[in-house]
Amino acid sequence: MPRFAYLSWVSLAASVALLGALIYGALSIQSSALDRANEIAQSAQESDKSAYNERLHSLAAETKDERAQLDTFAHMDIVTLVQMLEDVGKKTGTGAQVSDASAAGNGVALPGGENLQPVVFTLSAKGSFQQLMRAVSLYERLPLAVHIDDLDIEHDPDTDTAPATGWHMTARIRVTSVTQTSL
Amino acid sequence: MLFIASALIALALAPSYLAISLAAPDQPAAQPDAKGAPDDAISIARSQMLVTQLAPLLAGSSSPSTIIMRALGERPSGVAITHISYKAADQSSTGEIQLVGTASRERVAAYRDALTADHTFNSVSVPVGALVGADGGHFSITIDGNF
Repeated sequence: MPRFAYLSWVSLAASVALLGALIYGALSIQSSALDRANEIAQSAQESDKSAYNERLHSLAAETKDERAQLDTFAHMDIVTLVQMLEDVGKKTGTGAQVSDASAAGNGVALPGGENLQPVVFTLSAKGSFQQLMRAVSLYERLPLAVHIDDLDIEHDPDTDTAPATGWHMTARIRVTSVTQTSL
Repeated sequence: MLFIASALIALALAPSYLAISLAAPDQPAAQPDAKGAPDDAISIARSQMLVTQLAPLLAGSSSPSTIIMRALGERPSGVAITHISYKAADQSSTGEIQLVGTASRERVAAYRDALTADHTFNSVSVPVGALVGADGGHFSITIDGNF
């Protein structure tokens, strides 16, 4: 075989090998570019998540006191609620007594596992009309999510000679709170 | 010839390869402080739910004592009230107050007119019997309103 032909074959083989290497290199560059794009997207996602968590944490820190107050406002057990309602009776001299309590509806499940439940209390009281109105006014202002559903105020004809205690009241008061007692 | 072409292609690809290889690696993303994030999210969502549920109760409730006293305040002299029934408005009906008592038919008519003139109340109704004096001075007045 002439020497020139031999060199040509060697050169061809080297060229093919080089071309193969180039194709591999080009594919490698494409793959690297894709990986880099994915890394950038992931990095941006993590950065967004981090910023969101920071904002969330900041919001939680800023509203810590207000949320604690809201929890105190909404978180009452049944016994405390009954005591608060009956304390109004003592303060106004109407001797308000809670005679019944029942859940109104199914309530609302809160994130974290508790239940916000409206409870309707039925109570009765006696006294003068002014005393009963004062009791109603105090019920309206209790530091609770309270709503007066019904009032029935009646003058007792048998107590005409004792007007100070001549009125009787039955009230249905709905209190919405986070309760853990089943009713 | 093929060798030269390959070399040229290699030269053409070199900048791309260098650009990707030499690009400064991204700073590792700051790891989010995920430790307290779920607790914060639950706590804030809980508070939002509480506010959503409780705000209508606190903002929308009218005062029954004020409404009752307003209705009684319109009462002319000579009208005695012996029974007051109050029912707050709900999703299906407006609020209602029923006043029961004794008075002459003229006083009952005057009381009805006074209540009707008060724009706090949407409607005032009195049974005809009370207005003609057929009920022996006993009357009832039913008042509807947004309370």
